[in-house]
Amino acid sequence: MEKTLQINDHRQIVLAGQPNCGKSTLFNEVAGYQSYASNFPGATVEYTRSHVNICGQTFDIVDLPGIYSLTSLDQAAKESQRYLMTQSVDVIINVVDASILSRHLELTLQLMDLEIPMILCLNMMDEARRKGLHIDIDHLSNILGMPVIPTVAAKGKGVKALFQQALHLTEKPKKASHLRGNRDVEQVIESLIRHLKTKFIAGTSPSPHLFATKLLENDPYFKEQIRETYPEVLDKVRKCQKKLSVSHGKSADEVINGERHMLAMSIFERSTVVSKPVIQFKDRVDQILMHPVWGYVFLMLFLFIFFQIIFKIGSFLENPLLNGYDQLSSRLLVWIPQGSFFYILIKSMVDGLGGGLGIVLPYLLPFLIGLTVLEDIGYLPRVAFLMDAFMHRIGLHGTAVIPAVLGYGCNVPAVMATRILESSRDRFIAAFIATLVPCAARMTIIFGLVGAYLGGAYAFGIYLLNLVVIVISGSVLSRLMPEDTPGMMLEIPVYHRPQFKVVCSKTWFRIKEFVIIAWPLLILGSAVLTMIEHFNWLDAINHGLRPITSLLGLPKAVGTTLIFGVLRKELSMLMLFQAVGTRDLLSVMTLGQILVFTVFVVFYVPCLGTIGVLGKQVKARRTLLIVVVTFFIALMLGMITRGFAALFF
Amino acid sequence: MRHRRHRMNHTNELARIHSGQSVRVTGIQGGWHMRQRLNQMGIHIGDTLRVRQTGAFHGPMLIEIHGSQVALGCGMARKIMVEIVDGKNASDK
Repeated sequence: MEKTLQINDHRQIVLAGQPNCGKSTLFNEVAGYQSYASNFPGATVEYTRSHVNICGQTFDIVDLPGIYSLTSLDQAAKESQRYLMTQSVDVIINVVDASILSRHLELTLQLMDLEIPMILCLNMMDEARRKGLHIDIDHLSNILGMPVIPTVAAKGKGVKALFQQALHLTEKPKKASHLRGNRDVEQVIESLIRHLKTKFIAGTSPSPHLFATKLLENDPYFKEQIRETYPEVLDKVRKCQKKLSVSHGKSADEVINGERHMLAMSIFERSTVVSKPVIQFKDRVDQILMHPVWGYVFLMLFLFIFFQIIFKIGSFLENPLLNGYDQLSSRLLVWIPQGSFFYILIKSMVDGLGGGLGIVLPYLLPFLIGLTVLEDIGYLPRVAFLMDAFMHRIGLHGTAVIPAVLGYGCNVPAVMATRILESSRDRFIAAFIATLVPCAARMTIIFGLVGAYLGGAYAFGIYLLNLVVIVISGSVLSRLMPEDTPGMMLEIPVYHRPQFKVVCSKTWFRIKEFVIIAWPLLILGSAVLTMIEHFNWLDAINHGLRPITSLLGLPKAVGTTLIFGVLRKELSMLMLFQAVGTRDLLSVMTLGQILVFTVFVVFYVPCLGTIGVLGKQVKARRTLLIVVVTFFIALMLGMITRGFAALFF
Repeated sequence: MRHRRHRMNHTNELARIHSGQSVRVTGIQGGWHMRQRLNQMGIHIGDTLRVRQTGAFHGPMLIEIHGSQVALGCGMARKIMVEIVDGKNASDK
């Protein structure tokens, strides 16, 4: 419970709220391109911080992962909870979705217990009005005892007023305080507070009232805090719990939660008048998109159109880009004497740059924009809903689809997104599956090699094979680790029109990884490969990897590219062009070999970035397991493909 | 208090309710974790919710509660006991 000292002396404003209330959109509105918002619960998996200037003063604004309550059940929420408990926060802006006010108020009531100056930001006011909710802002502000500011963050409305109010509150801090509920419950809470005060927590954060209610609720975080130092407090807690459950006929946590629910409902009813909602097209569209039959038809259709568009845009851009770049670079290279060491070095780097520009970007960029748009509209939770029944076959539930789908963009955020799952077993299986999903980098390989040389049907075949492997390995893992999964419970948000600003910043956030990490690596890798070639080390490396390449029936020169592929998946393809010294692969490899190479590269060992987050998410031992298992899966599939190619080509 | 209003309806699992029907939650069969999760989504004993969609192949169901839509896995829906509310009182938030 120690307070962490702030390194800088900026005052800190924290955005807290339930998932999907528009916190990150609000954050983007003031902070620019540093955070990213999503239209699915649990999108912000790590908090984002930004310095913001308001009326000439600099503040730290922190966007926390969404939490439903201060009792955290998953990892993302734990981070928020810990942050609020341990950091010195000057103002909390509690962002709520005004159209679901009563539920959001339950979190508000808990945040008020933290006794930190607080503002209620009633976001999505337009949606609330559409649903027929007329909220009396002044009345609500009176009841809660804090400023209430209506906003529509997506349109930038009310944002200025909100932060001005926050500024005002940092200058004249007024702590929020808890609202009193039912008398007999309050009496029990107060008796526990008195007991706690004699022990230790007078004057420390969090507030005694929060501590007492959370102990009565059996919150593991708070119990952990006192178990070691003050075990005798737990006896008192048990007595109080018993008192509550005897007088109310249900367990203490139900009493406290029910109490909070009643209070939230009564605040909602006192401050809001409900009239008839305006039914719009987007309310009806779910009847089709989530329909037991039509839902799947449309899902297939969307995926088909999605990949068609990417493939079309990619192949439309690829050649003109490559040709233009080749002309440009050959004109540049004229200035350097040919055959010199310097020439070879520069040429390799120019090639590396061109590889990124011509082969990766044309596919990656439309893919990431497309995925971001789908996500921002709010389609992903619908996919989770549709896929739940199938995911149960592999021992997971629908929510695990979200990391998997994100995996098609990049495995790194996919593995991070497994945090929205509650059990560590589910997180491990979902992370394993996410690393098997062919990310955009591997997509460029599939399209760039198999798509280009063998045609779209084979490329599609690899995706199908991949799905089969995912299903089999998921089933095997869940058999090996039998456990009852808690089951899916996922909020299905209202469809949003994608926000241009959010789509841009999120796409940039995702492509940044490629531009600032992978691309330089690509150029460097290209140079290193040329060096290795120049000094004749190539043979030694290729010789060392010969057991693998010979098992797969691949040319010896391919060996080094596999090492580069671990750095970044797309490098293995680009390095392949470098290693064989031509873009016309067919002169050195057969169609069968290209297929085997692609299959192997798609499945073997996650890239370094993914291994990094895996280490953080599922710990070193399980990461090693994933690396080894995926390697053998890839080797086996490569050999099977080799047999297939020998038969049919 | 709305909670205490007793009805002669017999209770049923939420998983067995057809789409379009409104029901009141009468009990949650499950431990602390289960209760916490449901409470966080706004599902408490005494609340009224409407089933919007039932899933195919033992899939999840889509319910509407307190103005938000929630997808509930089949396993969870089996642990929520409900009684059917007649249409007129269904707007009981």
